Amino acid sequence: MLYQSFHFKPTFDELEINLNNVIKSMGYTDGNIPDGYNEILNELLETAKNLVRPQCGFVIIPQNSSAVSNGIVTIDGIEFETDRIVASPLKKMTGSVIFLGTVGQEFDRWSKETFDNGDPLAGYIIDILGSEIAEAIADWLARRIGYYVSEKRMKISNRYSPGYCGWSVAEQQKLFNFFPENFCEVTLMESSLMKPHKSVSGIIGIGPDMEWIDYPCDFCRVEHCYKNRKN
Amino acid sequence: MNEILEKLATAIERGKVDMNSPYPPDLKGEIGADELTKKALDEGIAPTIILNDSLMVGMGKIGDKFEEGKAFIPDMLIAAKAMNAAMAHLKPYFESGEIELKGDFIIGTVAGDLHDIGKNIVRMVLTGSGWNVIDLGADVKADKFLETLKEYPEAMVGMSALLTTTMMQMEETTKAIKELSPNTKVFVGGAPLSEEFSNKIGADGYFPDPNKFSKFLASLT
Repeated sequence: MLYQSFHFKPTFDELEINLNNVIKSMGYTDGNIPDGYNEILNELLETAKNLVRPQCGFVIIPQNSSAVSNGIVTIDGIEFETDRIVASPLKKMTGSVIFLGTVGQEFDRWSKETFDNGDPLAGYIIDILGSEIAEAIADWLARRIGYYVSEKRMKISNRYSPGYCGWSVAEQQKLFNFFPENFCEVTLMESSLMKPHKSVSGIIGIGPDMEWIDYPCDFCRVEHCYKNRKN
Repeated sequence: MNEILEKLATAIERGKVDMNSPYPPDLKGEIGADELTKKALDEGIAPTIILNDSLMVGMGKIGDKFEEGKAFIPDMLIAAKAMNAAMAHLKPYFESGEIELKGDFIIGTVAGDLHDIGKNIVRMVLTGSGWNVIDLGADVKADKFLETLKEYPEAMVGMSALLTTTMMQMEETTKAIKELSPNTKVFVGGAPLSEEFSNKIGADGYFPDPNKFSKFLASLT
């Protein structure tokens, strides 16, 4: 089935990048980064502005074809075996969107080349920065979806992605069936890894009673998670 | 300890690569691991002494801080970069056999997985600890591991994966390696893995921390 789709290319300046998240992901959970690393981080952010090619979009699943039952999220007949962390907050959805966002291929090359060319610290920071930018693109898109559905007096849930919150990354294969071919120039490998690497896909529930809730990281069994804000 | 060796160990621990490197800011303008290693060799200090009594001391100190939660991956990486600068001066002595390597270690990220940062960190730490690391890169199929093992029959093997979908490749690869060479040690690493998973697939160990892994390998030699 061909779903109605929307495609965007936000500018870098429209994204809300939180460098504090990058610093925490580097291991400095108290936010105190050693002298000198801040300069490196800011220099890399400046370079990133010229290399990031943000693209994102979503497809709309028709009303009344999204449901949750016994921990299974069903979207237009396709069953997703999510964990209760994902299924519970989506129980009241009456519709949904499947979304995709990416920082673009150039960023992957920059990260790898920097690491391989003898600057592992910068390569590592670029990798983390890429994850943060990809999340910022997904956040930008979620806000956009929020505005879109508010015109219809609807609200949105959090965004949930395979590979997080107990939802197997393998289910990304089913998710990609909803997108038009080469949507946002992101492809999916057999292993469910997206190319470009720094891309985010997932689902957002829609309904009059949907609400944003704190991610329940305390209940999650995944120890090493980018979204983990337990620390 | 000799003053140069002491300064060199500190340069490694603090990640002072060379005179031009701006990091760490309090050592700006001072010579780093690159110049200090050259100076030590020029003064006639034996390459083995430089490696064992200085470079490895520096790496050991930052590694211990990492284990204790007082240093983090960026600190390990900048130290490894300084170590690499020093090792470039020692390369001829490794090639001539004057410094003996600890052994061969084959490393790669398994098929279907392109995440290689973790694998690269382990490579850098092991290289800095005196291992000849043969890095097969990312998305490495079982056949490639076997082919390389035939070339380096005494090598140990390390595999990395970051996805729950690709970690399953490790079982197939481990089985293939053990069939080819039952005594070859196989180690696994990566965020979704565990000791339990390592045992289940017949690997010889799971290590989430490169420094602990390096220490463990040293204990085997």
